[in-house]
Amino acid sequence: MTTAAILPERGPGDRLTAIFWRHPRLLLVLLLSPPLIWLGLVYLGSLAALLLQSFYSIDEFSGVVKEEFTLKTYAELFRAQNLDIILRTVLMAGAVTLGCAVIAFPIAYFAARFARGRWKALFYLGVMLPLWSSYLVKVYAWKLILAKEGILTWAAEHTGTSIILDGVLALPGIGGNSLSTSPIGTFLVFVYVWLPYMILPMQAALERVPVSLLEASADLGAGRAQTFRSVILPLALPGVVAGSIFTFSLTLGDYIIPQIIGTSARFIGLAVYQFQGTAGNLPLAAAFAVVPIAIMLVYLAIAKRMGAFDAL
Amino acid sequence: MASIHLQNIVKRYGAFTGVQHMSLDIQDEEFLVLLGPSGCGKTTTMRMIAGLETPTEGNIVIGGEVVNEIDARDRDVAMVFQGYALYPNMSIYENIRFPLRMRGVPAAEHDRRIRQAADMVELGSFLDRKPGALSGGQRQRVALARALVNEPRVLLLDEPLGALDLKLREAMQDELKALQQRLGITFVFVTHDQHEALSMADSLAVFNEGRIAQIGTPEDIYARPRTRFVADFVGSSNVLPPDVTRALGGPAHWASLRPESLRLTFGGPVTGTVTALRYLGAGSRVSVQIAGAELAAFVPAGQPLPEPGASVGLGFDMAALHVMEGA
Repeated sequence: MTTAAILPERGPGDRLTAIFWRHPRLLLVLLLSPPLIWLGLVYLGSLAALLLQSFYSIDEFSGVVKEEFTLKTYAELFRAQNLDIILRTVLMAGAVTLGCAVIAFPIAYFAARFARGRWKALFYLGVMLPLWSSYLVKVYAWKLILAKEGILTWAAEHTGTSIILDGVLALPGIGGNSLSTSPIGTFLVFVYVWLPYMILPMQAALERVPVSLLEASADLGAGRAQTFRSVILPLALPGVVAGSIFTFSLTLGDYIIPQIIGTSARFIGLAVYQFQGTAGNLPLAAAFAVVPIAIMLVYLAIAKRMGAFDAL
Repeated sequence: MASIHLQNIVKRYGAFTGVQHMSLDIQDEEFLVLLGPSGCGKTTTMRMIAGLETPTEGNIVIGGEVVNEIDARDRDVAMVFQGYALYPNMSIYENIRFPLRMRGVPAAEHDRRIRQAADMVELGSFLDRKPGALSGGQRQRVALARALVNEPRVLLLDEPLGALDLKLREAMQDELKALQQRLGITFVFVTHDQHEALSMADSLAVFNEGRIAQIGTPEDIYARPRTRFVADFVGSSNVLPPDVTRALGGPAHWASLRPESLRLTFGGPVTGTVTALRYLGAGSRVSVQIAGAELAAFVPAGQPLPEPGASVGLGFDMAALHVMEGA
């Protein structure tokens, strides 16, 4: 008696699977085309449209966009008031990134090296939990915390540390009437809101550093500080850079936090928002929107040169 | 100068005891191999010598000094890690340079010493590459050069050849042995491979369940295993229960009889039935059922082999029957 070596076909599903098995490329094309269409057409396409828009200019009398290629709009960016906005935003983004990195590193290091089981779950929960609530709610909550009548001022009064708070607020350039109306307040809220985006990539990078590399470092004569500088930091750098890309670019583009907390001084995001809306100057808004992209490219080039991606 | 003494060492991890009351003396310029199955405490012992773990009880003495409280970085001991632990972001040159930088060796000396260490392990032409671009054997050499560049008094090797294929492994065994003799420093080598242990050791410590089951020269341990565990773990052996030993003409005690000491004969005082044959290349292993026990005999290639089920006699020198003091 002979038995068939091939099992009988069980309907159209089998036939489809067989087609995919014989033509593996077909499956790949089918799987990749929707995201590629989205990424290529919708995403990169609109970015190109934005770029195009920034090379147009606006007629100063009629307020109509002239669809002719010109660098005039970009030249406008270099006017003192616009340059001011860019500089303020970049400084803030840099400060926020640095602040996030300093706060995030010990947390990420603990989570990667020491937290196990329940502690690890608690860590993820603690980091992600703030992301589950609305951004606006958090920002307004911070406005209340930082306000002159808020809990921070109250706590400072009751612990006799008002002097410190007043001292900080008296600092020229970054101080102000109260925390909620000063650049320090903007900084604090930015750091709070973007911190998870710094912690998570850092933690992932630190987790990938094998313990044996740290042990070898001690065995070969390195002290703790030397191990940190020569082994941990270079190997965690891709994570730090990934995290800083988030914090830096998110701060560069945000237009809500500076509007609610801080002085009335404008940031890039707010400028884009106003130029494309009330001012109706779409080309200038587009040119402003290109600024963060350009800054990020420069930033990545520097990070690459520093060897941030060598350990990848 | 760099003899190592472990005095009554205990290492506990919570309720689990990794190393139990172990004492071990390692002579200067000795090649000591720690052999045992996984989880027997051999790696823990080595890590305590390196300073990566601290003993719960007992003292570790290196070169006459108690080093329990001394940090790994301040011990003149270098270790070659199991996975080599090379820095993936640094070139081979920088990897070997790492200990020189960390120990504050004057920069003017670096290049000479790096090249010297690289030459010692025949690694000349790879210095610019990253570890990722090297084969397992080459990485092994880098790890060795990095450990040796500071001229430590003691070199610890944690299963350094485990990831290499057989040919390369044997070549590296010879090289390591030669290197140790040339440098004249103490080597402590951890392995679970008995062939490696027998061929490399001056002195061999067999570990079992956190204790040293036996320590001695490889010849001594192979010929005169003290316990059943050692007889079984080092080489293959016929471990005989007391009644079988007596049936073979020995005292009523546990004994070990190596397969290669057994000859197949026609008839004789000890006869049995062949139950299985296994071809091993250099010869065959013949299992013979006698007096309620199964004995393995090694028959070198070229000699006639019996059929399974055939009745054969077993012959051996009484001297080859090693009676064990332990059980």
